[in-house]
Amino acid sequence: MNRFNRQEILPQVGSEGQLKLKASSVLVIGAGGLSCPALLYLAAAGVGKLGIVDGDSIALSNLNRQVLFGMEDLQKNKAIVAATKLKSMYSDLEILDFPFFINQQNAFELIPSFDFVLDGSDNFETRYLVNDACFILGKPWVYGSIYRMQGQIACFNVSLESGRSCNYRDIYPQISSENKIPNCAEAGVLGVVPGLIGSFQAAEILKLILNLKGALINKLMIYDFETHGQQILEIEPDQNIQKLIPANETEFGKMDYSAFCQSDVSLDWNKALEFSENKLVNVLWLDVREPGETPMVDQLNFTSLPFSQFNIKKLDLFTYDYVFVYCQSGFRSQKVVNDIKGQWPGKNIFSMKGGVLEFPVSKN
Amino acid sequence: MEQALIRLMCFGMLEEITGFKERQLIGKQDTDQFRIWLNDEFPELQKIDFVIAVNRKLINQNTVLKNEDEVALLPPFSGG
Repeated sequence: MNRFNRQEILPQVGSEGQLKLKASSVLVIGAGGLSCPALLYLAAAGVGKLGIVDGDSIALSNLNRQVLFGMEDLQKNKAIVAATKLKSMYSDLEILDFPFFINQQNAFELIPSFDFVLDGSDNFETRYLVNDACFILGKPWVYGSIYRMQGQIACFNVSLESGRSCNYRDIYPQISSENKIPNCAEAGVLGVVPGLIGSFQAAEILKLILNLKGALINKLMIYDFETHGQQILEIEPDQNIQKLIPANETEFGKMDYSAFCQSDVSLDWNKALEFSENKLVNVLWLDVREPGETPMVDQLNFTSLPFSQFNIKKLDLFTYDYVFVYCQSGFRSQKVVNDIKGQWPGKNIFSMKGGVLEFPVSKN
Repeated sequence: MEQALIRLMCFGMLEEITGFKERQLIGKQDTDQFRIWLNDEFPELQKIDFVIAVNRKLINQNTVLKNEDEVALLPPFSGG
């Protein structure tokens, strides 16, 4: 009797299928609400090599859905904790942690050494970046994302006899700058919903590895938690859309993912102040002016970190749902925000338009 | 000519904007005409990206609507 007996006796798997699982590798992007259940099932099924990429640290508000983590893990890196837990469960698997965010500089080092990618990220920048990198590298990947009580799942970029299957851009070629689709921090989430969608994603990876029937290739599934309704839509690869994808690694490096997905990184003071009045979200006001620059904005409970000695490591950014950066006129803060976005594409961080000079005087 | 009765479905935040998950709609000959009606009825939708599926097939050009067709409006999801 071995650990995989109950799946080996399935005609769809068998000992041959088990060997395929053992020989396969999956890179999991993000270790959040989708990835935690996905990782648990991929590891339990005996997928031989798993990579986990996430630069984020575990926050208290993650624990309702990120089921690999507990109270003792707060503030530790997600990729490292997830890898450690899985290694302690199944010591024979190769589990690699990459405790940083995937970005344009490292994507081409990370993805090639895996057979499949599972995207469990929570933002459009990362999703388009993963989509394009996988397209250039010819790597199949499984997509999943949620909005409140619904989720979407699909297998993308699978090599077929007829060519490549659809990718994310065949559905959403690009996101317009006006788009404001909230993520979990803004919209709220019941843990079991990403639990279901992440499990569906793991199931799709297993289908691809084992060549099982019914993988969501050239199809997008939408699942509704409230009705248990599922829509499976047919999609078709569109040659015109491929032009939007950079042709090679060099072109990929030149893309500006944060600019075309996220609207402007600068935000009006009034909008930011509105956000900060919501007691449910944790906001950091960051003043990047040098000592002596006035006026101080006494209305705000701000943290001061001068531009000349700015270092992201001095901030526990992961503990904040929103970060609003300001300087005197909005120039330095914009630079800080762009730098942080480069390292942390999904962070909700904004530069205050016009700086302190534009701070609304009447606002209390 | 008989007017087509379609089944309209909204997903994600579109459900919150339109106030319905599903409803019936009459008298829209094609998806272009349908889009015009949608923009008039729910101006807020103009600010949001979404794609349209007719009878569970994603469409990217004007499509004739027939009786009992199912039209789904699908915004991108971001959470994870």
